[in-house]
Amino acid sequence: MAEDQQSKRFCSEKVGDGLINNLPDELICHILSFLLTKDACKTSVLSKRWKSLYTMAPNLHFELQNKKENNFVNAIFCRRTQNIKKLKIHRLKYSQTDHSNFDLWILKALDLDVMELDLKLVKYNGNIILPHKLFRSESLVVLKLGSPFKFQTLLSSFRPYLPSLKILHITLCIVSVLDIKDFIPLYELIYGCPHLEELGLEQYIGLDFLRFSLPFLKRLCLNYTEPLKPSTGYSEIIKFIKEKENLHKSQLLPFRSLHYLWIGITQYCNMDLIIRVLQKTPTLKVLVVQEKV
Amino acid sequence: MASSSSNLISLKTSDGTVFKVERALAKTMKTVQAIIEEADANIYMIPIHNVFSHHMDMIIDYYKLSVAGKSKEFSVEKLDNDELKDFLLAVHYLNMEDLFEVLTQAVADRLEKKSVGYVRKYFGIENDFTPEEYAAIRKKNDWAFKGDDIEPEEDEEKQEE
Repeated sequence: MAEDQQSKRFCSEKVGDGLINNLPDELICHILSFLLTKDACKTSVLSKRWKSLYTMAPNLHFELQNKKENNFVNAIFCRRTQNIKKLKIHRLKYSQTDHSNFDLWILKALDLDVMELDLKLVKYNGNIILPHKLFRSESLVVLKLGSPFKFQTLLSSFRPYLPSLKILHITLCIVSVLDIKDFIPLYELIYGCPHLEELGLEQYIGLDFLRFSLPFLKRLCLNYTEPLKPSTGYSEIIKFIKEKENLHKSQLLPFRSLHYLWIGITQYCNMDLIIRVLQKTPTLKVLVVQEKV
Repeated sequence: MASSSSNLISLKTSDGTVFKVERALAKTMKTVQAIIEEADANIYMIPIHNVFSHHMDMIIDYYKLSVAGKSKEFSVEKLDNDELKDFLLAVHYLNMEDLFEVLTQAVADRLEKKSVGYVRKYFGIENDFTPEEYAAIRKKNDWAFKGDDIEPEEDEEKQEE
């Protein structure tokens, strides 16, 4: 920061000390929203003006490592009274005791009309239960569930409805045939997103996604990352899938707006199914097929 | 020179250089677009304050890459912190959405995991806290600082944690 810089500034305009310090609050908040909330929070010590500036950043992003961090996430949420546009929580371990916190955070975000929700809770062997309110949110535009969520909590009498949802990414958890039979709630969920433009499914095997009627769907990504465990009735699963497919052969609905299709395949995948999908995507422009070993 | 029927718009930067750019590129600059729409049919030359020729060069680079679908190849790594700030301000003035997002992300990336002193210097912020006030705030948000390798704040003769 030498005299060189000073003269440069004089050329453009007289802005006084600190070029960016004279930026409007909203611009600074915009920059802060690209940082982890933990880092954005540190800016509170910079100066009086910055003391609460970070609380206006519309995005919250947590990469949680351990339970101790729950407290400060709680603190952040308590202080929030305004708009949360985007909430992203990635956590390495989730246990039953975290459940109430987790619920609280999501509900608070929903109350504040969150538009984008990105949740990833890795390495958990139980049921992650999501609040029902989530599936009736009118503000949600993007929903990304990056861990295997079991959909048992979507009761058959409960109708998910996400009118603003444009992007949906889900990871399914398939351990047995029963899990595939549980897909009904998943179909209900997708049915409840009439304006969906992008759909991403992890572990899509066995899914009767062809039942989906999604007239606005532009992008479809089907990924398959983990092989089925042979010990848990693998052959049963394959048999079940084959039976279902024969049943629904004629009911393939075309994806009229689809122009991007990404498929990750393995040796267990049924190529017939994929071929039929391709036959029903007349507007397809980009096709990516990736093989997983 | 540039009439409303031609495909090129003339933009004059703060340092007096005139750039003839495609109408499509000018359209990505909402500020410029507003000027065109408000003026009469034959606008001769549009002055863009706060924007220098080296900024325009980069803007044109970005535009060419994004038209070719290679916007991810655009990099501002070669710019030092002040140059990046200047560029961000120029793009903000021109109100160019996509490029603006790219630049704010770049600024955020540079600030990640830096010390308080560094960020103060970067933004040119003067510390107007008393040592007591500073200590109180620092304590309140202590969890945010935990677990990082934070070097002691530079230029902070006032206190130490």
